[in-house]
Amino acid sequence: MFLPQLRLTAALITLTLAITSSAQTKPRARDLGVPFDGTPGANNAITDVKGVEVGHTTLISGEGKLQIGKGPVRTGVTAIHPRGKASNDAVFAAWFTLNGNGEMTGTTWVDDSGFLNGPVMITNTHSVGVVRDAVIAWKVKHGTPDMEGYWWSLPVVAETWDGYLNDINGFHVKPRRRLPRTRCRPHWTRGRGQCRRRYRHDLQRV
Amino acid sequence: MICNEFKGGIGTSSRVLDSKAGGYTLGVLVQCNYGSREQLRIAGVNVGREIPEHTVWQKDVGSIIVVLATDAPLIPTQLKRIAKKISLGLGRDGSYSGDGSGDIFIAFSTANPGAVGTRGLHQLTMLPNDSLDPIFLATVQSTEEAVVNAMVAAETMTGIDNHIVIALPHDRLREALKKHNRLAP
Repeated sequence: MFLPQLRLTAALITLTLAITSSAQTKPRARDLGVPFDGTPGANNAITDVKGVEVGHTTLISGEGKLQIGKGPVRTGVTAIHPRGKASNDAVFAAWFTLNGNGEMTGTTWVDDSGFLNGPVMITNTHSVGVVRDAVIAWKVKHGTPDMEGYWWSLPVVAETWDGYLNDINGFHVKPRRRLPRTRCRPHWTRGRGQCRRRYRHDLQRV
Repeated sequence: MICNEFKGGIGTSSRVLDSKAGGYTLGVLVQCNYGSREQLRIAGVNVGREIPEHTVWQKDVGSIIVVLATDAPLIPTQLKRIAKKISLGLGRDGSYSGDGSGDIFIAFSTANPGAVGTRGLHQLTMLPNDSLDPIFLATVQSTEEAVVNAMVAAETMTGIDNHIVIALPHDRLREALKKHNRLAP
């Protein structure tokens, strides 16, 4: 089984506030003399909101003619953790689509519950699925099950299309390494490479 | 990512409200991959027309994702209103939200920790609706600036089949603003 040790691991796990740190070395629009209204926070960044953590990974490799599956690769993954990556607490949230020629997963439950539980992820159009799966796997590994002991997650993953520059059909946001196979305990079964008991509510003990 | 036919990607900005408005912080992060050069406005100046070279599509192609965070105590109906106002920030940058664009936004509040808990009664805090205007304004301002920051931070990129997308040239941006008396001192 591919566990969430993806190339986007850094985006999910890093505590580095990549955006604000890069902001300190590169000019921002204000530094160039663009006259914006209003007073920005200390870093003029989303991470000025206390608790918010952002991870960001850019994947760049290869050059020249497109060879699907090989590159060139020009893509990335960004994670926004509303209360930091260590928190399991949800936030009140709402979403809006001004023009719907795109995707943000998990929004039906954001609408009905009023909550966002977990990070907001952004990647390229054709990598929404792998990122969504990775968030679930990451939460299973690092989080806790619900009050009834069930694991479930409806990640919010959004996308934009980078296929003019990137080998988007090469699916380069992908597992980086396969974890060693786990030996199952005698009375457990192996399903799709994962040791598991028969009932879902036991998964919390796996 | 291609933002108003310049190299784009991630950009961010924030606003702090003054103490009379509660002193709350609001931040925006965008993944900017939308927009037509010809329509691009920065600080009210039609910068896109001042820098017409090396366009990509000659129309609005692509999408933009916007994430908004605030510590202001807001409930989901209020956050929905804020998510809608993000549109106005994009409008300031010249967007007309073209057919091919996925313009999708999400807003959240970090106030009210524990509200998702499943037991007992929850005491929530929330601002009254008639005090939301400063937050609406900060939403529009932060969104407008985050898009420009995405372009300013980007570097010219050569991708598949040697497709080139140029970065917004900083000197040309300053020239255009100066020409229209919009360059800050």
